[in-house]
Amino acid sequence: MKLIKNYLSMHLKVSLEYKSSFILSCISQAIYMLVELFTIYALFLKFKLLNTFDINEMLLGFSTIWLGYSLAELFARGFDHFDKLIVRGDFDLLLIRPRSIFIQIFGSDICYEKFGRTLCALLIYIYSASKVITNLTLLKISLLITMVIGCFILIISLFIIGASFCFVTVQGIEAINIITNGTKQVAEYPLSIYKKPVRMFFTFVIPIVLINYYPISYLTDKTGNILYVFMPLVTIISFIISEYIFHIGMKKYCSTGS
Amino acid sequence: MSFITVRNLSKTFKVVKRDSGLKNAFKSLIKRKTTEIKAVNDISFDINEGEIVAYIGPNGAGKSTTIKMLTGILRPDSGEIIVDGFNPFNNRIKYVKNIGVVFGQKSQLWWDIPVEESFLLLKDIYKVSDEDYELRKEELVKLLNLKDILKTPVRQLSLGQRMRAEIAASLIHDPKILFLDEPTIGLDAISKVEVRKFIKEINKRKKVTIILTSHDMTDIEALTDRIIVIGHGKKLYDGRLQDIKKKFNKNKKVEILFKKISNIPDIKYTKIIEKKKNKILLDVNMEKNTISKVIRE
Repeated sequence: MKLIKNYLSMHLKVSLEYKSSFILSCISQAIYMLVELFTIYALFLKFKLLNTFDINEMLLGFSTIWLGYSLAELFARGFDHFDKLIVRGDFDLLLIRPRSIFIQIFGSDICYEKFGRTLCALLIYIYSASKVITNLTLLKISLLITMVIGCFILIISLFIIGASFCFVTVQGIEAINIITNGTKQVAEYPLSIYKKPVRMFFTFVIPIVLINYYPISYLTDKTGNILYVFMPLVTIISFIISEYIFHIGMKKYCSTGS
Repeated sequence: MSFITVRNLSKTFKVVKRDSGLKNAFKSLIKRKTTEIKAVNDISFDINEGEIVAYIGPNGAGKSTTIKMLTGILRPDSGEIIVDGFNPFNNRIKYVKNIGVVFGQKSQLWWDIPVEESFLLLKDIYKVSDEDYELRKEELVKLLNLKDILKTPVRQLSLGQRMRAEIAASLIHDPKILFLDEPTIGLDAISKVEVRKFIKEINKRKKVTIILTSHDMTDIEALTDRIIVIGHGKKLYDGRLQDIKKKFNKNKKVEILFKKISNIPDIKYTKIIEKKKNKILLDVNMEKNTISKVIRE
């Protein structure tokens, strides 16, 4: 635990070393998200095809994903950019330390520049949640928290699976980006606009809709099914699977350079 | 049993082969020719505690691969490594507590922040207690002359200063074994001498076993008696540096230019290979004779 704290402060020191660059990228990252939000918003107003969802529900779904995704990018960039670690040969240096490889990869890169985006997403999240939820219960509050954590864990799992491929391919492959980025993009829109096979895929293979679409219908009292509250916990299974895949990949590792 | 035991160690890599040119690059997308390269082929040696051993060989001979297997980074295909009772790959976490590694081409220091911060992180990684840390830091600062650079960001250090800091970083947890993979690469003559001095000092003071690789023969001469030579993954020589010198430096060819050749005396242990108008080429046995002696005659 102390080590994680130490890693966090080290990276903060590095980020603060380049002050203006840090602030600028913080802002630009946030703007990037807002532009995407604007596109969806404009679409939403133009076509009323998302008639089962109102604008605030859409905002809530959107911000859940972005909040979880930004947090994952902030803390798990080591996995997101794992190919760099391998190509530069820095992964060797992690292997000669008497600590868990997982913690060290988390510690290898923490991207505080994503903080602007995270904060922005958090504000939208709180705002839309307050609009959507009429009667706030303790269960709903805890669901609001587990939704974000669930999304965070799921995205990290995808990063880890992507990283596992680097052991074989060395270079990161763009195909992995389709999965991580694509999943995020799909989940930005309400599930009801998609055809059934797509829905099934994102429920059972990459269970991203379990952390925003279904729980939101509980938050808005469209369903009283208590099962929906525990859906975000499914992502823990994804994490365990991804960890397993990573360890298989590590056995294939054969270092680069001298 | 010796401190480090390596028996019949082998490691094979698959290497993709393709001819140059864009056309062949596309071709290799579809069908790849791979060849197996035996990076390390059936190597065995023993190293005792407190020894300094130089591991030498040309580029691509398998030096780094051996070091990577000894440090637990790579898994050997076959063979056995036992270091201080541990199998480096299988007991990685327990094993690496006792080793320090410096890769001359990779930095373990944090580029953007002062050296001391990196030391503090390593202190936490290795769970070194505060008292031990202070004690060792003091010692290393004195030994490696780090006082002025401790508060400087790594990016502003010279290569020689950085290498000193790297060596210090690898010693913070007081390892029993130190691996140095080309520690003097890219350093100027003075820094090289300094780094060598530190390495010797560390070995003497702390009884650290040191295994180093280098291309610089003067490095090796200054640091150690024992060398292990490998080439194409095979062990070629293991023994004292002087012995190998004797073995291969027995005869020297000497070319002598004369203004005018008079009669050439018959010199002991010397053979005339070639004789031209004003030049003779001699083969001199260095064990029994010296060049100056030959010239005098």
